[in-house]
Amino acid sequence: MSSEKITHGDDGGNERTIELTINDETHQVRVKPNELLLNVIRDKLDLTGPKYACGTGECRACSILVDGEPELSCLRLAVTADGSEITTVEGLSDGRDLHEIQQSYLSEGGSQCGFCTPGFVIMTKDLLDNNPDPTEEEIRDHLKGNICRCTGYNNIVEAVKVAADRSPENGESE
Amino acid sequence: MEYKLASNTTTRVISQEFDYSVPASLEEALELRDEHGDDVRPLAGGTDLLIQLKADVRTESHLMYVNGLDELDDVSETEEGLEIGATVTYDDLMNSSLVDQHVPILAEAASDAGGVQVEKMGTIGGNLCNGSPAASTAPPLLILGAEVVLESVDGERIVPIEEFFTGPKRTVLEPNELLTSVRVPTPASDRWAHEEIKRVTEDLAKVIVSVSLECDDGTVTDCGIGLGCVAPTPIRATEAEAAIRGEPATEETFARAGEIASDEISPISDSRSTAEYRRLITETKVRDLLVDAHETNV
Repeated sequence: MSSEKITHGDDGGNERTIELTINDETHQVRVKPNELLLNVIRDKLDLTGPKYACGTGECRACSILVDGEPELSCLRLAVTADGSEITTVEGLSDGRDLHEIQQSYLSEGGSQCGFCTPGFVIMTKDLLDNNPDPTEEEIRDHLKGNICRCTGYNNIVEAVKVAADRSPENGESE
Repeated sequence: MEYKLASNTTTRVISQEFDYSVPASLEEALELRDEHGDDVRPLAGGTDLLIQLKADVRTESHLMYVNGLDELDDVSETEEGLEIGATVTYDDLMNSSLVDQHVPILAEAASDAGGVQVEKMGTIGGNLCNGSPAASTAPPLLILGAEVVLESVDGERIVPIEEFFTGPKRTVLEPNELLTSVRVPTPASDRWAHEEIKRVTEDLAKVIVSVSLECDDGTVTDCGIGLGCVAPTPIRATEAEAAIRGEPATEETFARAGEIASDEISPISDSRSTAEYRRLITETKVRDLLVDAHETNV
């Protein structure tokens, strides 16, 4: 990281160019220091999977992976993610072929209104990447911060179990 | 920086404008603080700071991002215990074998901070500098007798954590200083217990209770009772601690500690709880956690 002091330009702004690699595509984006990573991803890069809901870190609908770690994109300045590799829910499917986690949410009814689903799917990816065969307690613990206001938690937990069973690590992938 | 009442209720954007720097080294960060004072403030995990910026309860003119500084992200062993860098995250604390070995109560406190994403983002230095009475790591650090290292271009000063907090959102950190690490001595006793009382996992706590206990032949020789959310700062219940030193290690003694602790706190009623509930639950939990700590096999 290089040291840099921003000075206001003639336009009165202090925009800068940052580089974000999102779902394996690298973008150069002009952002101001006060722009949230969530808004840059949604409004400038047109990836509307991560959702704005509470804005205060309580609902987790904005969850994404930053350099492989689950974070809240509404509580991160975009400038601080300069050079990062980011995965949003859009990065899971292969074209129109859904990821096995997404398939499981579909088959188990793990999504009702769907607004919280991108956050849950990202957290499920994070869980199964690190723990391919979790217990129900581990599933519930990992998803404990994410809120579903349709309250469809049992089906979500079922979806994660089915996704774990289908994962290549457990030898049942087609 | 200044604090005021929330004048902005949207949490979708940060409407205030500020400058932004990424210092290349701790030395450069300290030079920025020396030159600009509180006009340049450190940003680490951002999980508290960004919410305050969104609400305009706090105004900043220039943020410097310290999360990439190598000097601040280590946990290392010292003669007395551990030195924990300011940008060590809750997740780091939960997964550090050194923390598990020396001060497991700190890993337990970190696991209460608020769900997986916040554990990955939030830092111990940010938790303390935010100055909240609800800081998750403060009650255990208080009873461990931790110290914070405050550095400036002029050198460093070591401040006991008990003297660090001066009021809600207020600390002794000077405008030219950065909190760079937390020094935590290894406790003499393995008897401890910790609990955050709250509705659901990502909530801020209603009350936080951390206790430690040393006993000899059935007598309490030393104890620590650290409390959060029951006073303008995180505190130790010093009167309750003093009252049970030298007393028999019985449930009656521990109940007495709970009663005294409940009397010496100054809780408020707010959106998370009432003053009355905070007094009652403090009395009960101080007793129960001292009993738990006493029953720990050591």
